[in-house]
Amino acid sequence: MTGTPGAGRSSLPELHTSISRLQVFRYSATTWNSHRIHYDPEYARQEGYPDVLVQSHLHAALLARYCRQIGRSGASLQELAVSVRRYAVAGAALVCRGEVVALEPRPDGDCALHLDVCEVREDDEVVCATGRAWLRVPAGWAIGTLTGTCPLPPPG
Amino acid sequence: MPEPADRRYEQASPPAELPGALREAEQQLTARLGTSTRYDLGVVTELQLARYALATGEADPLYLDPAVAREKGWPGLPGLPNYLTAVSEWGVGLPEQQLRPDGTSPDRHPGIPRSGIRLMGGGQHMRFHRVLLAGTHVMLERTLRAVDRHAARAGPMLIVHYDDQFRDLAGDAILSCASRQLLQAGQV
Repeated sequence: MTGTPGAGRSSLPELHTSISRLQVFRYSATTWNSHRIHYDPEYARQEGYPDVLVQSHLHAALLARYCRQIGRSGASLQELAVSVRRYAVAGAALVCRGEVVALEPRPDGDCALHLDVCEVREDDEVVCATGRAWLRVPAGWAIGTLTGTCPLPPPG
Repeated sequence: MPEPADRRYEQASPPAELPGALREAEQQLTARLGTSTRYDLGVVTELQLARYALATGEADPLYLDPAVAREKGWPGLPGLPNYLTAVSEWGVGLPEQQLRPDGTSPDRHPGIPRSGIRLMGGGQHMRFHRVLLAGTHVMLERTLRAVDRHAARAGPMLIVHYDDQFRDLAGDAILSCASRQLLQAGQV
């Protein structure tokens, strides 16, 4: 259970969402991001895109939410590395997917849950963003057949 | 934790020549390598954090409603993990006439020419030391770590590496972020 998750592969529950034009606007507004690529369709077309783009940090925020969803209550996100690989435009339907890379005990009694995650455009299965994360989870944490008392090998 | 690959700059050998604007950027950025700049980001408010959460599509009231946060035992409204790295401008900002043609602020990118360069985010690696709470006064220290040439499918590219350290006024770490900015020659 290693490697970057891609289209058609999923070992964890998915997170489905869509990013409306209004959401793209509000995200730029609340982060005071004035880059025209996020609100000016004509400018976006000049840059070679079909419409205004979803912000890279919003992609990261969605993957962070997905990690929290997988970890559930009691988990805390410790690290998240995100790379945006392809664009998504306003109105895009996106799905976050992930795989457990490792679940290992920690000296403090908790467990470290290592995830590979990605965010995919639902209409054409193009991977928009990939990420790796680790979360601190309670020793009794479990999802599916994985439990915090049955560790997987550590990540390579 | 290794970082995921980024298809935009996975090409092998760096370009020997750069277009004029990129060459200028490389010279100016190289002269700043290793320099750190400190920014006072001010006190993060409940309104800022809740608005950010709402804009991401967050539905958990823990991140939207201070009363719910208090009921759950939090001393203040918690912020979503990547809030600090997502904000483009912490101050008032510049008048429109002083922005780059793409709408971004040249203040945000010292050493990068105002025009002739396209800027793109190239990914980030965040380490969360503790949860950001409303009411925290945040300081940022940004260090320009490296400037690399890369040959991408779309042409020569510079990759600028930054290290950002977000701390509270006591100096306690909140978030560390290693980020990459991609620079290409362009009309903007």
